[in-house]
Amino acid sequence: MRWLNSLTICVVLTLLLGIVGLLADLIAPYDPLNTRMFRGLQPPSNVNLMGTDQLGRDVFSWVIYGIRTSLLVGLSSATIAVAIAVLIGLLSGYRGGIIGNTLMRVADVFLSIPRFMLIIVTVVLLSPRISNIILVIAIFSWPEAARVVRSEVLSIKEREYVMAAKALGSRDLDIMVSEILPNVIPTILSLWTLIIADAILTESALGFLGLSDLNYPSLGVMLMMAKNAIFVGGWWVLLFPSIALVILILVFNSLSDKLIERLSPRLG
Amino acid sequence: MRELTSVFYRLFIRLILLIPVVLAVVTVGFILIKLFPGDPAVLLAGEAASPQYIERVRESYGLDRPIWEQYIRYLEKVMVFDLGYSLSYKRPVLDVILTRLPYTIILAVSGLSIGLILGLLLGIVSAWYRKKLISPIISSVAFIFYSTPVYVLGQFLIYYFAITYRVFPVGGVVTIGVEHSNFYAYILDVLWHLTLPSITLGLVFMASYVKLTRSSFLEVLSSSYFLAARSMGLRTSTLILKHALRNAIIPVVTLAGVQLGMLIGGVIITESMFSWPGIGQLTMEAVSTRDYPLLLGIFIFTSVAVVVINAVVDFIYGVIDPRIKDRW
Amino acid sequence: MIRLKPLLEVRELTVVYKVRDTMKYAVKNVSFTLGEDEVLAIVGESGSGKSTIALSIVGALPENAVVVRGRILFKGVDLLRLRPSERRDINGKEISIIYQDPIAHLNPLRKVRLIFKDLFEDHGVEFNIQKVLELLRKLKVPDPQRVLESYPFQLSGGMAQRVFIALALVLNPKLLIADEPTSALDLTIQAQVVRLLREVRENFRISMIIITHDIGVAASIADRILVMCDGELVEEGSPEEVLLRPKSKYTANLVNSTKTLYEGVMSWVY
Repeated sequence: MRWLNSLTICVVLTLLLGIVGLLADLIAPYDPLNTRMFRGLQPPSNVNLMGTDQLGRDVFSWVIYGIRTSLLVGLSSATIAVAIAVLIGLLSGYRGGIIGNTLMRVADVFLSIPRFMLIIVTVVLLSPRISNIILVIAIFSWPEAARVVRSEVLSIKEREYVMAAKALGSRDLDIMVSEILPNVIPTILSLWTLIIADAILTESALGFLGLSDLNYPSLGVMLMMAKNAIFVGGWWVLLFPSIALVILILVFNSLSDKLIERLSPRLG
Repeated sequence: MRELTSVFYRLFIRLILLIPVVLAVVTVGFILIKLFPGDPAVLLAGEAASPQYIERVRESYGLDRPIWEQYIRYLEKVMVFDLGYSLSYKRPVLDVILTRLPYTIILAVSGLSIGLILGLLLGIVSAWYRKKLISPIISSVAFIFYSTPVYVLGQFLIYYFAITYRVFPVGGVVTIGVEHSNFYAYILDVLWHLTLPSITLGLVFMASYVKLTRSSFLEVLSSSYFLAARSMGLRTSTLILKHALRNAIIPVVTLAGVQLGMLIGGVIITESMFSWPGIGQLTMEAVSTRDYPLLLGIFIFTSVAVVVINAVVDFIYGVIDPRIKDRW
Repeated sequence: MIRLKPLLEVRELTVVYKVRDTMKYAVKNVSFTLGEDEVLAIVGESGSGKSTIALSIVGALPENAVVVRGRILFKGVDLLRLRPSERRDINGKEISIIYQDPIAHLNPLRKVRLIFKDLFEDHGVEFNIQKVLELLRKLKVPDPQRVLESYPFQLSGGMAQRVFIALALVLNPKLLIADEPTSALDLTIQAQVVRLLREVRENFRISMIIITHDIGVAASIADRILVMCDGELVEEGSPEEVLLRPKSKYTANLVNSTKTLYEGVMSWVY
């Protein structure tokens, strides 16, 4: 059963989670945002598979929608961040010069500032709408990714086939797209999944601190409820969202690792 | 003697080079202020302030002047460490920050130390016994901890150790309403309260250290000089302690140094969870009370602190690793 | 000629490497002897198994290598049957080895003096810094004091090679193995190292095994030459015998290609 390796399991899990997220409306039995639909703090039962929280919300439905929110935020912010990072990384790595160096300095400044603090400050400044959250996470994720892309580009730049293309007089843009880009793709994919994991972490952290968009159920919010629920024995409010969250993050972290392992020719 | 002066010289250069970065960071702070929705004077004076006070604030910050004048004034204030006046505390922002800073530092240092020690130990074991079963087990466990958010791990710990088994307190720095007979009793109480939060932090950090230690150690073990040392018939203890460990630890300790800097920025979530009165909790307070001067002050303070700490870590690294010493 | 009791006797050594799922023979059934105060050169191309023999003697084979058959008798004791701690006693003290690329083989973060100290102490000998200094001077190391206080990365290639040789000789071993001692160095330094090894041979009563792909180096220093090809021993003899009257086709080819190279260079020069 050669094909049943860890990469397959990861991909399968990701797809499963994706399906859950997409079909949330169909899978979730109740409207998660509806408080007082049930009695508060009920243990898991036939009616509420994962119990209810203090405000009478069905935990199961919340978790389902929470997965969707996490995936939504994760995928969007990661894609935006990676797009910016690739652009800047390619340009600054291949062209270098004043622009390239300045861009990297800018990225460095971003990196020096404690990220989470900045995210909180920014979210507080702007209203905690989901689009803002996605943008903020993206803006604070691209610098590190850009750095990685840039160093990759720098090392690929020195390889023979790039030198050959240059000697043959190809335009810079052509070289960047056809020679360098394909070789950076494993790194880009790995970064993408890594940022997804990180974005999910950040998104739920914001939820935990009460800074999320109230229209989009966040796993972090349920964990915030758990803070008090566990004092009165409501272990289900802690357990189920935790499992969902850990699986989400774990899966994308694994994907990131595996992608680098499998796709990168040098590190075989 | 010559070496000593060159050391100071390098430190001096390092600090000079810091200035542009600090300037950039501080400027970001300024931009943030400008991005605040609403009238900055009202924000700084507080919504409940009288119109005259608002006008005074406006004048003092030069908010009715052109923007570059505002910028200069802002820089002037920052340079004398005047970070403004906290609305909720009715004290200068810097004061408030400095009062809370020690708590964050204690938490950060203990958490990091636990994580570092555990990570190093497990990483070395995982590398040395890489053929046995224990190695992938350690790696998997570390990976799971790495993917677990702080607030999940912390809550589980609270649930088991603080609520179910009542071994540790749930939060705070000291037990409320208790008179401590002497200084040692006080310290003990603090340590007791410190246990859960620092273990939580430690476990999360441990994971990244395990991975790094393991790969660093493996790299050393497969290096040419290790082979040569083995061929010289050196004892295992000598090999590990004097030839492998020192070389392998360097990247790990560097990481720890950098992370320490980042931690000052606020172990916000951990402090929030355990009601630990540090800068992280201060940030959340500032958010909920809309104390913008405080919030900004915290931001500027922590950003600059991170930059400075990173530079110091870089510098120390240069002192420890003789290979870099020469390059300056 | 009186045959002295051999210092080292290799009998039917067979070493196999495990690569993925296949096994590859690195050394096939190789036997030879080495007497006291004798210099043996093992010559061959990459992959011929010559380094594997050296690594087997000191027990520094990589993890995926297995000695499937054979004995390596040193002063009558089979090294392959010894416990690791006993082997460690021998390594560095009775049998030493130096590798190619000396700087890479010295711990960059440990002062040279301390490396010597480790060597002495781990073999239960008191650290004698005078002996080290004297040895370094004999090996033509300028300013040995400074060298001792340096870190390996601060030394030049030739200097590092001398330090490496000093480490190998300081405890008066009976056998010195040099695994490609000249390969990583510049040509001029190579010549110096060859001269150095000759001097070592003259000054110390020590047997040597020189592993090299350079038949010229082998001829200039060895009493006997062993030629390896694909893990098998194809020729054995004195330098004159091997160079002028090679018995195997492989050796003949090897010698000829070197000669051709040499002649080509010479004809171009003149």
